[in-house]
Amino acid sequence: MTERTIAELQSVTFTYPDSQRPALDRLTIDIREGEFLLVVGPSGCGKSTLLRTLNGLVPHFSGGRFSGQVRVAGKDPVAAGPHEMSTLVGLVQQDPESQFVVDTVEDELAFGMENQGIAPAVMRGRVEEVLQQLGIVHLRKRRISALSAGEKQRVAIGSVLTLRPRLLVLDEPTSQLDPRSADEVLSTLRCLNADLGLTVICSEHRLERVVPYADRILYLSDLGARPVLGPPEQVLMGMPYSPPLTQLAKAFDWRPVPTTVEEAEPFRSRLGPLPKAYVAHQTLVGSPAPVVLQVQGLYHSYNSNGTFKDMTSAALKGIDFQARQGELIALMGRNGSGKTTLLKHLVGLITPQMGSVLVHGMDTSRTQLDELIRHVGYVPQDPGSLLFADSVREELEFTRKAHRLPPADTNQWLNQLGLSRLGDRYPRSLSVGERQRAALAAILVAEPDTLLLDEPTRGLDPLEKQTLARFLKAQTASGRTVILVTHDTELAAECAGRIVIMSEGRIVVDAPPAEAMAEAPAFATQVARLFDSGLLTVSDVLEAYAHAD
Amino acid sequence: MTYHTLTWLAWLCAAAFAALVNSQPLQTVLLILTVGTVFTVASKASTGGESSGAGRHTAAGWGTFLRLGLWVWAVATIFNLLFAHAGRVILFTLPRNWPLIGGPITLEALLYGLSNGASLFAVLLVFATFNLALDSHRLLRWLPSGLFQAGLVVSIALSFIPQLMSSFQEIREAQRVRGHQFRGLRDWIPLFVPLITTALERSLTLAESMEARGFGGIAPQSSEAGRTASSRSLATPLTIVGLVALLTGLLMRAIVSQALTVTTILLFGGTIALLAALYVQGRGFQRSHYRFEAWRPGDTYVAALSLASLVALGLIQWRAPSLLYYYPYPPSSPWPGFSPWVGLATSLLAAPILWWQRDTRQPNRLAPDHVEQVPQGLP
Repeated sequence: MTERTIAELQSVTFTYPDSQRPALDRLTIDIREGEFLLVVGPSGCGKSTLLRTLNGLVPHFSGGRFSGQVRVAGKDPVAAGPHEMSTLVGLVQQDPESQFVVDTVEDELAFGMENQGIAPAVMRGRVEEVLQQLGIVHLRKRRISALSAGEKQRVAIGSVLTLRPRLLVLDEPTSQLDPRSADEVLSTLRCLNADLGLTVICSEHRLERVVPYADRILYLSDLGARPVLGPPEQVLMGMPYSPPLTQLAKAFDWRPVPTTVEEAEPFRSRLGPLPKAYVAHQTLVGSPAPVVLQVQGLYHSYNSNGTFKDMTSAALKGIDFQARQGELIALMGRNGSGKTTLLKHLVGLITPQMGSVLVHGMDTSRTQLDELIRHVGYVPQDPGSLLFADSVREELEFTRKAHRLPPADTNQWLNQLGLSRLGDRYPRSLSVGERQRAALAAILVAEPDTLLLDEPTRGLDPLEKQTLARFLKAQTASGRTVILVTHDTELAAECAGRIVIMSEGRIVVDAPPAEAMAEAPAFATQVARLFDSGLLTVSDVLEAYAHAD
Repeated sequence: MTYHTLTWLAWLCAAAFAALVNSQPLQTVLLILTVGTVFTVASKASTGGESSGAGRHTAAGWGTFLRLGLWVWAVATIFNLLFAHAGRVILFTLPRNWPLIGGPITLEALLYGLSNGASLFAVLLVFATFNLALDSHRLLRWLPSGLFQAGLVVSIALSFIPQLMSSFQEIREAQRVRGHQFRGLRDWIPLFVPLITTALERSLTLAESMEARGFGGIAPQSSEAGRTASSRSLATPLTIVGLVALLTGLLMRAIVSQALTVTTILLFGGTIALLAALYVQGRGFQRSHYRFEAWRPGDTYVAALSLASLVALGLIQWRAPSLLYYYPYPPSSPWPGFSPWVGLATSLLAAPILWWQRDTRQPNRLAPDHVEQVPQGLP
């Protein structure tokens, strides 16, 4: 790798309009040509702002007060503006859905070049080249709306690559993807970085995924502390939270700090065999709790009228599933495997076309929705779908009223979810994590027996995620049943008592976490892949080896 | 994909003109049959050619639109039948004391309602066919460059509608499960507030993504910078002159009906000045186009036949407008006329189906691999 600097920021301070606190505070960094730089930090630390500074969207698009010097590939983005920077810096956003302009893959790839007035013959050559680099030649004529989330994200990357940028900047590119699609996108990035020497700058919350690819890490903290930029091992050791392997390295003093499971393998064998005395995840013996959700032989097809002649297009193909009171079940699987459809059956939004769904003993096809939702609460994927009132407190009161429940003490829920200071804030002005908690509070305030959550960890940083995991666990301890649709294997290992993995409309794995992760390695945590003896999280490992001493 | 965009535009002009100037029912029926055939072929082509369901979707969408058009036709007919009591041939009489509809119900009223509804339906059919046959993105590149951005905004707004529908559904479900019931008008606030804020957030992301890919910018070419600047400064006076001329022309046409030549000159001059302003404005934007459309012999024939139809109907409208005008009430005869000349001009509009079949066998006529093109209008 060359040591030439491709971008540098000198003492950059930026404050958004209507904000008192600067999003970037006297930031000075340099980015080397050809490196893979990972930008991490808690939500609200200025990661997105930094990325948008590189192509001039900050301050050109955002407004606000800007000071300091920026140079990217020999140009000053503040003076040049995003249009001129578009041929030097390619920006890919978090949500693959909302960044497309035209309907077909090929046209989308050409859009940026058309804006530059590039000759048609040149455009064709470049479209061809990019389609091949990203392995999406077969998608050329497809409509973007018909692609999977992983394919869409690769098209989004392609749409900026055709301009031949020297820096590729990605804002949490895998946060909405299942583990396998995320790996595909990340290895595509690694190839672009290694084969073409393209400088890649990428922000991400799920460190364990991206750290192995990174040459250096930039850690931005939100409390005005100095940002740290350096090799992964060094930066990870200094961060308040870190991927499982780094935590193990800290605990057992592994040097150099491993970033991949392969690198950690020799250290693990040095630890010796697992102490016999330890039995992972003891299950409590006792009378099993009553069944609260019961699904039998459930089929569903979005374009059928009850006859299942053409099974290939069905969203659910014969689901048998049950949940007992107080269980916390993680529902996993690739995008489009039927998880959300199943969840909607459990709350009665969809009634079975074939088979049956019993919720607290009530058949959903014969029970009024109002009766069902007294027992089941549902937090949708986007917490923004729920929030509309002027304050968080009003959101909670609204739910009580909608359920025709007497007004209750909302403070109790606000406190439990760490929202006590935010009760009077406008919900839309909250951060992603706070919004998620506000939505959760607005559902829980009706005190449902069963709680269903669809991807609650989108955009949450690791600390927020841990808080959520602890909160959900506490809920099950008080007798509530929780079902969680998630792509986040670490979260599932942390809090779930059972993992259900779906694939193409069928349940393929339904087992306690240790067994489930052994059966489906794609959904296994780093620790589970390293220790194949039922250990899933760092605390499992520490506990197991503590027994040895 | 079928014909060149300009071919379709020529066809649209001719067909829309025919639908608008003619009110003779028999001729309208002929027009509906002609355009209907084109519509059928277009919907077949769009369902057969595409592997994904999207094409079928569009065709079905316009099908629904036309069914709605049939209702409009029926309602227009019944309305006229019940409310217009003029005419000699009385079919039956409703009691006089019935408000509005009471009185003689006449054959003339029925015929007039039918013919008006038919004209309305013909217009809808022409636009449905045009939209089905031509993707709005193809139309964009033929807009004057000055209007390109506005055109793209409209086309994005159209593609936002399905997204909006799906988030509408999501939010409605989420609030419903939260216990909310949608009854009165006020109950819709929990739906519309999230819907609008979500849409706004999404459009900001899209705007960023477009801006980051150089949209709306003027790639500054140092050698041309001066010329561009001077030509753009020309755009403003041209626009003002054009608008003033056009407005004066329109006013004079409305008030002083004598000075015909002056009015015509003003109207023409104003239009030309505005078009020139758009052209000058557009030279500032350097934009190229990825899609290339080939002009085939079929395009020449269809465009020529469409223009022939347009010219013929224009001449008829000028020299013998009575051939196109239908008025069944006394003193005219209620029986519709039919002019073979109008019929001939109308049937020319079926031209697109003639060369279409041959084209559908080459689905890739727009594919880049088949095309070699010299870049045009580039630095």
